[in-house]
Amino acid sequence: MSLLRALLRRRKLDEILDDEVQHHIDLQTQEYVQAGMAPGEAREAARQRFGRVDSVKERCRDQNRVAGVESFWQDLKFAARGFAAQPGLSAVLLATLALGIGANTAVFSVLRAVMLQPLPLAEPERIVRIYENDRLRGTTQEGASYPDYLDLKRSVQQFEHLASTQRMDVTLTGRGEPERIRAARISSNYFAALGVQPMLGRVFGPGEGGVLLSYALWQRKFGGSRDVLGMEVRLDGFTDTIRGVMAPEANSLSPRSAEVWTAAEIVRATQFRGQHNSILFGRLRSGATIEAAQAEVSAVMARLEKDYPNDNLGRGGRVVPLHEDLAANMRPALRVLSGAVALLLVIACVNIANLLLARASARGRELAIRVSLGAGRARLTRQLLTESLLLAVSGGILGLAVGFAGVKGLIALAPPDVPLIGRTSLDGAVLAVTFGISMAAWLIFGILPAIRSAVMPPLAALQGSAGNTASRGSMRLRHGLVMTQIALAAVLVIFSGVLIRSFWRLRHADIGYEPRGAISVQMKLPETRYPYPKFPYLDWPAVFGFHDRLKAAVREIPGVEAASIAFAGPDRLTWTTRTTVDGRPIPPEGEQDEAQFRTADPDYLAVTRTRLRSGRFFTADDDERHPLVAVVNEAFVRRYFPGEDPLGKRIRVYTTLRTVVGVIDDIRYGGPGLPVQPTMYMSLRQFPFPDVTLIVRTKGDPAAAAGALRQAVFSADPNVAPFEISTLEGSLRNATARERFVMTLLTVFAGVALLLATVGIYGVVAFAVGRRRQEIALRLALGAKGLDLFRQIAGGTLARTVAAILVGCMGSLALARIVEPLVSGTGTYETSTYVTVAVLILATASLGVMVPLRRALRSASSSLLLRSE
Amino acid sequence: MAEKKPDLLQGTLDLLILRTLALEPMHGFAVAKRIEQVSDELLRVEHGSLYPALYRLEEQGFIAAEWGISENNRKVKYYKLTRAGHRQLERELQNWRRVSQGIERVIVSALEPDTGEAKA
Repeated sequence: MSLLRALLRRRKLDEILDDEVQHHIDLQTQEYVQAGMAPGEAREAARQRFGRVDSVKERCRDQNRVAGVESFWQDLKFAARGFAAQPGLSAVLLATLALGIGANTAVFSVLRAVMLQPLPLAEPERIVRIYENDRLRGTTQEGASYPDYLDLKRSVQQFEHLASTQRMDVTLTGRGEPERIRAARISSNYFAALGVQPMLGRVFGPGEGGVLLSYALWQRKFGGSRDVLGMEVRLDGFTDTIRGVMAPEANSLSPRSAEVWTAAEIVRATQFRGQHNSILFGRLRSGATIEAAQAEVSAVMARLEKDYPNDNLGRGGRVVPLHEDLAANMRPALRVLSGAVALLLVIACVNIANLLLARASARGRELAIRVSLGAGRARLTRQLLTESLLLAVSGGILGLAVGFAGVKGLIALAPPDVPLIGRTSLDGAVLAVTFGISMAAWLIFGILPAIRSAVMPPLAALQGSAGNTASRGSMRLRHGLVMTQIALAAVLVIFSGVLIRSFWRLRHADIGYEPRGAISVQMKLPETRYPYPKFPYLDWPAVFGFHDRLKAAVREIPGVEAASIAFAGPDRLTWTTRTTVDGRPIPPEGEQDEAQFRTADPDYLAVTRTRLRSGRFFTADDDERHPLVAVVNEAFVRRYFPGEDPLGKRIRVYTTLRTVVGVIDDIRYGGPGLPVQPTMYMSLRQFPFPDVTLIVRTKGDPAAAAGALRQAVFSADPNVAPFEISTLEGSLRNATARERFVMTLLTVFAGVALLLATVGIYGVVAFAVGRRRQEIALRLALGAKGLDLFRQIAGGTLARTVAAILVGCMGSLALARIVEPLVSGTGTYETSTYVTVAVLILATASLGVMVPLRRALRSASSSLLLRSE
Repeated sequence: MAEKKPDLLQGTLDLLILRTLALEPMHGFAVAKRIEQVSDELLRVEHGSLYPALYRLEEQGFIAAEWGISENNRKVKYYKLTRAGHRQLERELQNWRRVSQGIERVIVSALEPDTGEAKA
């Protein structure tokens, strides 16, 4: 028995069935011949007696489960042929699937990498960051001062480690060209707090000096050699010893983390309590909660406020889980994007449903014909499932490809400082979920209606009567689906419109300088070669000599229109310092105004093209031998001299008094999204400084001058490393990278959503018109006007579209809170944006209505149609 | 052409096949032949329906197939009744008796005997 079954399975079931049928017909023929028929006639009669061989065999196969595998390939071939026969529909279905699956996979993969997957550090949930905040100035994310850190470290119980780090970039010399390197001064327990081990050597102990290399720097500058331990390196001209190389995880948190770490605990320089330049990390004691740690930090900070009111008035501390802190910057953006992409998936599923419903009702007839030709229902169902499987698998593979490209694109498009984005890989779980959702939509809308129509009495389906009543319901469903699509797409398009407007405002904000055509280079003069002068720090010939050599070299570069040395370029923020007006009573501590401090040489305005408002800018005479002067911006005048003429007044900057000689326009330093600050400028020669920024305006592309600028710096001093060479336009682009990222993606998603919705409308209208072709032709023949017909048929759809757009607008208003953090300027609601978007969607939707209608009306005017069917 | 009007009701064909195979194992053509002979040619088996019925019964486990040599010396599938098939035959017979009694009563009491379309 079982042997025979096995044999049956092994031999092709078809062959056996063929044999059996042939044998039957042979015996019948034989019988007819014995009854006296001629052999040929007998065979013909026997065939007739048997009936349609194909149909019988088909029904036999239906009875047998074993046959399933046999006919699978046949089903697959048939399915492929079916899809090839409708290339447009198949392409749209595949593209929809691929986009829905791919876009979701990409965005959620990034989301998981940045926000959800645990940090690649030991027991990351115990790591926190501690900020200082200032009640008086309303800030929440300030650094801590080093003395505050030492007091905190002495007092806290909830922390296993409390560590500090200060960003202190250095110039590495003696290994090829001098190079500016990101560096940090850390407490000796810093890596213990983060939970990262050295992969070579060891971390310096408490009170011990030394240098730790990052993995990347070790590879890049030291060839990954194990001999680096104990080797001496020159940083900023000082010699130090390499103690270890850190594992790559030490740099996993930020793409801009330090490449070299030096010991903070041996620095002799006084650290002021008012200087908030330390970043604190803590590792909580196991079992300690954030709340307990917060309470403890608050208590210590309250005590410090009482003990040091001059520096700590209003200052507190804030404990934040590290991962939350890292993701904070990107959270609103990723939240909006994942919401958008989920909406896109819904729209994609609706589109699939819609197209498949259309296909199912169009196939009702085909299936009915096949049933009446002898195809078994089980077989038909299997056929439909095979088709779905074929499309699902190809859609899934395409989706995988889209997702893969999407992840790459997202990483490339993302702002340069997004933490953890580098570890993004295509997320299998996300892929599986999105794939599953698409498949569910597929099953519900693709297969069930098809099965239903296949199970309909064949005659009814053929005559089309039952088909009509059944599909009237499905027509309603399809209209509903399309309207859902439009409403959802409207939400996406509106939000993308809001962000585009916001971004446009940002890019066209008055920033007070002309970024096009300008490039800037930074450098830091090493203290060993440019020692600090004596008080009052005015005469610094070595630095002045460097300035003069540098400007002379830059003037030689062809294409240079103007060059200026300043601290710092317009793309960077500098620090602020408390400033008072001479002759006025000095306000009490904590209530003094602060102004941004900058220096500039006489050519500054020629490079930035910022307007002089009144008085004069610096001249070559404003040097160490002439009276001290200052230039201020308009915001400074508004703050310090409201309603007064500032020219001739004196302001106190640090220990010196300087006369205001000019007022220039406000510049939005640091990026167009940041507020304008009161700013004061010192003449470069009256406030020499080891931090130097060279800004150059060129004819043509400023980026082309980068190489020549490097050479100019080396020719002025071969020991100075130029770094962060960037065009001002490039810096500006980086400053708005987050906004651009979200806007671009949301716009792409909105575009796709709109496209899908339009395809949906097109599908429904084309289908409806197709069903009414005869009616349209008849009415045209009877003298109906094309326009009237147009109105009758399109009117309903357009009215529904308008309603759906309104629903979408209301949805956007309700959801506006979500995009709010991403919008700069006037907020999320602008009537003009909503109206523009509504018109855009209506216009696109109308295309979906017009195209099939026009086609139908044109072809209907030929009377041939009356006779079709 | 679509199928002709079936000469036998579907359930009836299964019953007749089971009853016929209860005598001895035989191949498809023989099953059809035997039914026609035994019924004195009153019943005509639609050959197109016979094989699907055989395959269905086999799949349901009421009959089993094995290789045998037919009268014209060919290797063909012989069908025989399984134990489950014997039980099924019993059930179908009882069922048939009830149905035919019912039909008989309806026909006798009716004024106009309906010739063709009596449905079970």
